[in-house]
Amino acid sequence: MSDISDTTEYKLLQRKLARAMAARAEAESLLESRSRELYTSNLALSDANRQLIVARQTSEEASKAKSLFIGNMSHELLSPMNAIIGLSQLLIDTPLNDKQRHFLQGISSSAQLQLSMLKEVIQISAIESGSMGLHPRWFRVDELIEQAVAQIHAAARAKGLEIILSHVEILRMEISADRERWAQALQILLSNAVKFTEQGHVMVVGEIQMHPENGPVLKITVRDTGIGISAEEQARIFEPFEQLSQSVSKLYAGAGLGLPILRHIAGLMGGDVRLESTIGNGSTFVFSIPVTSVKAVADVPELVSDQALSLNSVAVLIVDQTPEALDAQAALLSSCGCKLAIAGTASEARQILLEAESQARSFAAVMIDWQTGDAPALMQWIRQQRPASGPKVIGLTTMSRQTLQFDAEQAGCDVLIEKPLTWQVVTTNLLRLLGTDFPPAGQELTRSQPAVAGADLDRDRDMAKLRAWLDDGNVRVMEWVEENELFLRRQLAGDFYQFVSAVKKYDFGSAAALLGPQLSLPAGERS
Amino acid sequence: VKGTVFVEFLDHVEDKYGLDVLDSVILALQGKLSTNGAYTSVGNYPHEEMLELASAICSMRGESLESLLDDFAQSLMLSFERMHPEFFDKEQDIFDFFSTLESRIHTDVRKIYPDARPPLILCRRIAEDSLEISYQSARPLALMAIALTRATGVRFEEELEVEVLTLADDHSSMRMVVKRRMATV
Repeated sequence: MSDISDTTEYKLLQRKLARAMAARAEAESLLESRSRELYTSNLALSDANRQLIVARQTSEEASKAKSLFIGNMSHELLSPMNAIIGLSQLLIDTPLNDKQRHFLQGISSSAQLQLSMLKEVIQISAIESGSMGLHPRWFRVDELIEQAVAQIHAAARAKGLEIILSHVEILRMEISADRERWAQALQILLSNAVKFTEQGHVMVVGEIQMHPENGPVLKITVRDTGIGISAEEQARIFEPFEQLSQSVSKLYAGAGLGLPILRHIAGLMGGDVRLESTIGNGSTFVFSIPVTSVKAVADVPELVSDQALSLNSVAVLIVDQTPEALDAQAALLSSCGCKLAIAGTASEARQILLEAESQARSFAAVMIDWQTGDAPALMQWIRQQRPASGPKVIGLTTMSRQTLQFDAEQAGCDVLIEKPLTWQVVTTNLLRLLGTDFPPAGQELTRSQPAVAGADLDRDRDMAKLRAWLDDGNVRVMEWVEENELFLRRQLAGDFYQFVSAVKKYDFGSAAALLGPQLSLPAGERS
Repeated sequence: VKGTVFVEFLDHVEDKYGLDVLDSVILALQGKLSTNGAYTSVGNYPHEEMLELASAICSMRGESLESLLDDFAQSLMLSFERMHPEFFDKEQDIFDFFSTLESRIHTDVRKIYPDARPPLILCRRIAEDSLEISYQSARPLALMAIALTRATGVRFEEELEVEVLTLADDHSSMRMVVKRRMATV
């Protein structure tokens, strides 16, 4: 028997085994060296990771410390500014020559600007340190918008810009949200629009959208006819400390923090803010916020709901050269139940009025924008056509009422209303003007008359008391105003803020004038 | 070339021709192979050794290189599929498989093996039934690529006609048209 180790097969297998073992040894040494490489690179990675964590902690702590410092310093930063502004204001009211007054006004306006920038910087710090929270309470959205508009009104008027409120009346509701943050967001949206618009208008559009999951979403759109924002700048504009291009920022002062704050507020409220714009074609900002707690205004005892009812089917012609304003006013009056006709020019308005007369129809009121060409002539023409029984003529103006009052009266205007039109202002003025001498459609009249009459008695008694206090120079008048704010808002509508500021300045004469002469009459003497 | 290709190749030769053939080829190439024929799938080896092995087997068996590579490519396809089933979708169209080979498979190969240098395979559909494929590699393995193309057809159960348009002298680049017989209704 031969030795198995001598066979060819054995030798073949032996060589195969040798190759397999050599391959295994090589594989093991390869694995060993790769494990070592992995271990080394792992060590390096852990080390780099540790360094990164330390670096991040350091930078976070530095950022927090900075924000905390500014937060702590905010009182110290703001107090001197408030003193400068307050004392300048007091000084302006003392006897001064024109030059001194001019210098003081410069100090005052620069200090105002400085104060608003300081506030923005402090707020950004609060955002960065995560200390900005929300404090919900109930408030009315439409009123807040009107207040924000009232604040920016003077700046817009100074530039000759019209502010148009469109469909804001659909936001006549109470929501539970952070009123201060809402007010700030609106203020940022509006002041930006006015700041970057040199001519044309700023339009505020209200909208409610039903989101399938989140429920109602309130959308406030602010559209301007300003310089617009390039696509490149749109990408940066919501970042803190990024203002528009150098050339633009030289023209418009500001820290460039408004929009970052706005975006943060929107985010905090679970909503967002979007921007659409092209250079030269204005900008549109849409502020969308989901709301969870909403109360219909009908829940609040409101006299105006009866008033709106009695405007049902009242025929009104609106004349305005700005199509956007025309649309917004038409929507507003429609929501009051009025029957409308609209005209973009004075001649168009004349045609509509003549046509109506030929068909034996008549308008209860004609609302004419003073800036529309030939507006005074149109007013005079209406007066001449139908001196007594003709439609009431309501003038609308973006300018100050005091400036135009005389001209408007000369032209035959029954009442002059400052734009923007709000639901409150329109209903109050129309009802006051049409009053008892214009019976609306029969059924509504019988239903709404007792309520309105009863309310009028209260109103006149209270207003007579207020007027007496103002005439006597009673300093407790401000307390009374605060206690009866809602009542006064209803009575004074758009004049409310002017009234309050006059009272605050102890300018009781101007405040009394705002109450209007008809309010001084005792209830019994009213026709 | 990845060691796994060498291991697969030697296994294939042993399965097909027997251990004695494999053994004598390795013995005949003594001194020309870096590891004397001991390959591990986790290593990397010079492609010249693969060519030496293939041509030695061909001359020993009197077989054409084309038929050796075709056979080997088919068994290599099976191994690839066993190791990376995620790359082989039975429902996939074969032209889509070729067209996405570069973006899907080679991209992943480069990620898994940073030292790997897979060839660049670019495809262009020139007719409904024809695909032009170009191959460019740092290694002269164009013939292997052609064989793998045919093997892919077998794997996808498609009758493929492969026509080589150009083949570089050093076999590092090649263009071919792959035509498939369309199913008749």
